[in-house]
Parts: sequence; C-alpha cells; structure tokens
Amino acid sequence: MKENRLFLLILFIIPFLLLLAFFYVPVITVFATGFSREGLGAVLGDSYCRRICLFSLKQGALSTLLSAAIGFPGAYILARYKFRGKNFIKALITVPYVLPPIAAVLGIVLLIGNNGIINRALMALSGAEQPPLHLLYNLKAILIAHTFYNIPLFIRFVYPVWEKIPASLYEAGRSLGAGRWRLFRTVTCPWLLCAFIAACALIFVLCFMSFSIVLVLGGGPQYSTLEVEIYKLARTTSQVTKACALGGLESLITLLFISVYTAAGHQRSSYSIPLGRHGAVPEKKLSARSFPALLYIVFLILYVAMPMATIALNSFTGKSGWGKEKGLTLNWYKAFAQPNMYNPVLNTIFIAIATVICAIVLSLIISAVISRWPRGSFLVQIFFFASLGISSILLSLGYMLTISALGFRPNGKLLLIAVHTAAVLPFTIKAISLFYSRINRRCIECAQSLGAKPLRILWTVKLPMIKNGIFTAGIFAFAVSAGEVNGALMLAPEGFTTMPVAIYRLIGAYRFYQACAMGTVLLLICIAAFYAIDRLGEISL
Amino acid sequence: MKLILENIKKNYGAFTLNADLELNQGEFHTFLGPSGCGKTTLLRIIAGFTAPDSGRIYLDGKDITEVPPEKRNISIVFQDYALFPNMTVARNIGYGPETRHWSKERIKARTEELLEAVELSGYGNRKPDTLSGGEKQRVALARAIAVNPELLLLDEPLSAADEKLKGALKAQIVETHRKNNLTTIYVTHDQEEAMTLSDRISVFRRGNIECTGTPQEIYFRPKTLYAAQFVGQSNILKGTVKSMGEMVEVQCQNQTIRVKNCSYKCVPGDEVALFFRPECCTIASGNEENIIRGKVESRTFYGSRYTCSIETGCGKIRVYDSYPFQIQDSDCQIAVKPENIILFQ
Repeated sequence: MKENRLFLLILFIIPFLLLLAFFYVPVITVFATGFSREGLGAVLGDSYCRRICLFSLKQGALSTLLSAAIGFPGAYILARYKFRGKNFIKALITVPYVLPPIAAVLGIVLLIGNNGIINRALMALSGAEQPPLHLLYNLKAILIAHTFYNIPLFIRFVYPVWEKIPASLYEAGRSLGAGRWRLFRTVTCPWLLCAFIAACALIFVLCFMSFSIVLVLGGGPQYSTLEVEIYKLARTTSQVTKACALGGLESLITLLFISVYTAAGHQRSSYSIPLGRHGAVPEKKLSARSFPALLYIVFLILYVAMPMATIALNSFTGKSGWGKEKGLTLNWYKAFAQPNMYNPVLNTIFIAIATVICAIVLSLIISAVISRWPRGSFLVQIFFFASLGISSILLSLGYMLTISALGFRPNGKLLLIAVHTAAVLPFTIKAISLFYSRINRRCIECAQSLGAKPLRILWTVKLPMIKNGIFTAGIFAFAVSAGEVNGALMLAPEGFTTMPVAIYRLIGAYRFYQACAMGTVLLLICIAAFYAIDRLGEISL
Repeated sequence: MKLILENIKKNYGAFTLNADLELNQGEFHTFLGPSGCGKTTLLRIIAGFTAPDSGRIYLDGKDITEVPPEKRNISIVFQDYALFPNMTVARNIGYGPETRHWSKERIKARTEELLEAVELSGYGNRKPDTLSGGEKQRVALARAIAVNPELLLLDEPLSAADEKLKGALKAQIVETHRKNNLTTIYVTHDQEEAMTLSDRISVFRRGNIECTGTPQEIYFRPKTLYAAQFVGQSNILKGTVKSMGEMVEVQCQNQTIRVKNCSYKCVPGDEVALFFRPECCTIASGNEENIIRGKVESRTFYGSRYTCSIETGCGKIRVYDSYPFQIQDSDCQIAVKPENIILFQ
C-alpha cells in the first residue's frame, strides 16, 4: 500500500510540474509585469482604461440581471409544470453550454443584423426601405448574445434545485398558517438563494471575461471590455505592460466572483436534504389556461434555437449578391474540398485530440491523488482549479512574455494545446474524480483478496468503473478545444488556422455563407458532444 | 376538538379510500395498517393537502372540507420532520405564531416554553442540520403545537428512529398530548406503537377502516379476522360448525371445540375460522374444556419468554412458555377457554 502511495506521489509530480510551467509561471509573469509601478500607472492614469473597466463591469452586471430576470420564470415553469416536449426544452437549454461563442456570434449577426432575418421580415411587413432595428455593434448586441447563453445557464442552475424542494416543507408551512406569498418568501426563496447567487456569480464571470462576442458584436473602442482590450494591446499595439496590468485587474475581479460562486455552491449542498416520503411538489399540467407559461416556452425555444437554426439554414442558401437569393445549395460545403476550408477542420481536430489526451492523462493522475489523499484534496483542487479564473487571453499573454524572457520560441501549436488543456482541466478533473469517488472500495479489496495486482485492478476494476467519466471528460475537452478562439487568435502560428478563427475571419470578410457552413460543422461537433455527455455522465464544477 | 369524517371517498383508479369516523376531544387516535392501505391519504385529506372526491369533514362542528390547509388550524408532523433548513430551531418553532402575527415577545416566550418542554433549551440558535434525528423530531413536535392547534396529525413520526430513540420519543409524544389535551391522529404501521400510545385505533385495509376500538378491544375482541391477524400474534384454526346452542360447537379435524363468541350468525355446516391469542392457551391438566393435543415442533427464545410451535391435528398453534419450561414433553395438551375464542366466517 505504501509503495502504491509513493508511486502515485511520484506520478503526481508530472502534472504538478506541467501546470507550474505552463500555467503558474506565465500567469505570475503577467501579474509581476502588470502590478509593477509602470503597469499600474499606465492603467490607473488612463481614463480610457478606467472607462473600459467600468464598461466591462456594467455589461457583465446588466447581462447577469437580464439573464436572471428572464430565466427565473423559465426555472419556475420547468420545475413546476409537466408538458409534452419538456425533455426537448431541457436538452435545448443545455446546447449553449457547448456552443462556441463565435458560432453564436455568427448566428446573432445573421439574425439581428441590418440585413438579418428579423430586419428583412419587418421591412417586408411594414414596407419600409431601411432596416427598422439597429441592434448590431453596440451594447444591445452584446446583451442579446450574453442572454442567449446565460438565460439557459440560469434556468439549468435553478430549476433542478427548485423542483427538489420537498413538498412536506410547503405542507408544514401551510398547516402552520402560511399563505402563498409567505411560503415563497420563507421556503422557496431561501431554498433557491444559493443556486441563484451561484448562477449569477458564474454568469457575471462568463460575461465579464467574454471575448469573441464583444470583439465582433461590440463594434469598436466604445463597447470594448478588458478581455478584448488586453488582446488588442498585446497583439495590435504591443503595449504588453499595460495589457498585463489590465489582465491582473481582470483576474482579481474574476477570482472574487468565482469565490462567491464556490461559496454559494458549497452552501447549497447543505440544503440537499432528501425528499420526504411524499417527494417533491407534484407538477401541474400545462393547459391552455397557463397562457403566459406557454408564451414563455415559445419565446425560449425561439431565443435559443433561432441563432443556431439561422446558421444551419444559411449554410444551405445560395446567393449571387446582396439580397438576391438563388435557393438551396451545397456549394458552401463543396468548398470544404479546398485547403482554406479543410485545413482549419484538420487543425481543429488535431489540437482538440491533443488537448483531450493531455487533459485525460493529467486528470486521471490528479483524480487518483484526490481519491487517495482526501485530506490534501482541497489544496490539490485549488492548485488545479485556479485556471478557472484565468482567461485564455491572459494565459496566452503570459506565454508571450515568458517566451520573450527566455529568448526562444517554442511551437505555437504546443502552446495552444497547453492553453486549451489549462482551460478544460478543472472540468475534466471534476468529471473523472466524480466517477473515481464512486468506486466501491469493497470491490477493490475483493480484487486484492482474490490475488489481483495493482495494474490488474486498475485495468479490470477501476478503469471500467470510471470509463464514463473519462469519455465525458474527453468529449467535453474536445468540444471546448474545437470552439476556443481566444488562445488560437493569440498564439496560433502563421498560417495555422482553426475553425473558430476561420469563422471569425470569414465574418470579418463578410463571407457569411462560407462562415455558416464552417459554423454548422462546428455546431454539429458540439451538439454531438453534448448528446454524448448527456448519455454518459455530467459536466459541472 | 371533536373531528367527524362523514362518508369520505377518494378514488385513485384501482384504489378507493372510504372513511367514516368520529374522534372525541382529547383523543389519541391511531390509523394502523400496512403500506398503501390509505391511512396517510386520509391524514392528508384531514390536513387539507388532498381534496376528497366526496364526503364532509367537521372539526368542532364546523365544516372544514373546503377550508385551505393554512386556515384549518391543524398541525402536522412529518416522517422526515420537514424542518425549514434555512431557519434556526427557534424560528422554526416560531413560524406558526409568526404567520398568526403574534407579538415578538409572545413568540419568544412561547418558543422558549416549548424548547424547555421538549428538553432542547439552548438549542434555539442552532440550524436543523446540526441536530440529531431525535432532536429534529422534537423540534418538529414543538413547531406543530406552538400555535395551539385544534388537531395534531403525526405521520409515522418514529419510523426513522432507532429502537432506543423510539422509546424516548414515544414518551415525548404522550407527554405532549397529555399536557395539551390535544386531539391527535397518529399514523403508523407499527402495531406496538399503536397499542402503547393510543386511546383508540382504526385498523385500515385496502382503503377501508376495517375496525375501530380501544387497543384492548382490537387485541382481544377484534371485529374482523384481518384485524385479529394484523395486530399481535394469533392462532387460527379452520373448522365446520357442528351444532348451535349456548355455545357453538365447531369440528376441527378429530376434535370438537366449543366457542362462546361469534362474529356473525352462523348455522351448522358453515366453514369457519377460530381465532385465539397464544397467551389465552394454558397447559391442560385434564379437566378443562377445549383440550387440544399436539406435538412441540419448535421453541424460540424471545428474551422474556419462549414461543412454542405446536403441531395439532387442526393446524399449528403458538403458545407462550416461560423458563423453566412448563411444556416439558414433546407430546402436550393445550386448553383454550370458550370465551377466549372468536369465531369468524
């Protein structure tokens, strides 16, 4: 047993050193550069930087408020009503989890742009010659994209908690004289509070660190955020010190909200009391009388599905010029025979597979350590989960700085794999360690008593028990890596383009239909990943 | 308060609940029956959580059938306690008084009084998740009686407790009932709980109240064979009515057994079941009526007594024995007095 532990600790040194080299060193370099007198001075003395910082907070707060306000009735409906298609809605609100932001951006541009579906429909209806809605390239567009992602996220966070409130709590309250309002105030709200705070904190972090949505839909310096500004400072104007200072500031705010999220999530687990004998509150049937609920469901389906449907539909639409439609075509898919279209697909698959291998191997070692060393697991988790609060842009900036300090340039693809691995590692560790923790110790002891050696136990007992966790983690890592644009924009070597970067460039070149074909392929990869994860396990933090 | 359940009916497809029952002021009444027999459904109908398909419920003369649960002044204690996890013990107990807009001083005084009554003084600021099962149960009980309810409902409150804790909690429930003179309905499938706690018991079977009576009546004079078998240990012998007179003579294989109590008007030739408790059997000395001969098949130790299983010509009979054994030989004779036997159809 002691030998096993020693072997595990030696093995643990590999991920420890890798994370130290590929995460902590670059991040600390960014902080050291950013929090220098020069860096802080450049940021604090610059009114533009202050404005960017305030705008980042503002759009994050507004996105969170809107997502929570619009998502709250959705959580109620999913928790309290039963209706045909409920499983479809549950699946639909999961899709944005794995949908690459650049694909969502493309869908939203085609939907709400001046020449988008909504404006064209309104022009056809009203006979107007100019598009009536000007939603792109401003705060409204950012909020629409963020709520597209985060209304479903909010619902997914809150409704499972809501539907598990034991019916006996309401019945006890009613028997003691409480009416509907008092029950909502004293039973429902406190029960939901932690899930509500956790969802809001997570949504805020995601919106605050949002990159490609702001980069494309913000439209310029007026609607720029810290994340976009760091990218521009580092890549376009080479003001690396200023970029580092902004990155440090962004990380501090992000870590604060991640702490709130973690604390709320931890508190939430103390409410997980088992449902009583009578279970949860029985679901109501959705009937014609529940008109507002029906209306909401239609709105939710349209809001979530339309950007994705728009991409898919446009990828089959042929055009000879602006507004002149030629009907359905497969031309945009035939273009995949050309190197500029198939190379990004191959590059994306290459990077994603490499990320999967790295993330799985590291996660297996770390999960084994966590399971065998429960006292230290908290520290191990903090060490490996820290990448959650650091954006890919900031990490890429760290690589650029470290590389220039060391005086050599490693392979850009290797750095991209490292960035992607760091981004997915907290999730893959969680997915695998969840299954690891469920391994029945008695089975292992049984195998030992029957004479099995450690490797045989690993192969015949442990791995079969955690295989779903490994598959889940692998598929999730693949989907995230395939859709990641931030690191690819910062680090990819010249001529090496991934699918999200290709989509970004095609949008910039107004080649929307080719972008849609590429987007649809990416979308299918992500939906297939979601489907597989849904079947095999779960991804959470 | 007096509770009247009048022709209550509730249909769930294959299952129908029918109930007619009257409870007296201050009575401790138990609904006893196996799982799925309808006792909890009836409790929920009384509480107002489930609406009956037909029938009326009267509490202290008032028809409360249509009154929502929050206006009935009927408190309930659930099996899983249903303590509000976000509130302290004191706030849980004060929840009912708060909804009734009692003054803060009055709520505080009542909470402290009840905490003392359930022996949890000093626990007011603790959260439910820091309490043991027994403590949670006592808080739930205190919360339920804080508002001086007209009726207290207890839904299998001891089913999650271990044997040692059960004793203490039972004493707490009895004490609470006695001190507050509360009309109480207790739901359980545990006959021992029902026997030791109740003034009266209703035995449920497949949605119907099979019989209602005091524990003694249910035990020694059950009105149906089902109730007789459900409560305590029983001996059932099959036979045919031979003759009628002051007593009924029943032929069981080669033995004639005289019976004083009939649950129905029988006639000679009827196939019947004879019921008597193991403790009603004595070792026959030779002069008694109803001597049944048999062979000791097994002897099981139960701590304070032994139970002997005796194979007779009429079937197996269970008899209690003490140590040193009264039944010493494998061949034995058992006597059962005619007044201790009940004849069922």
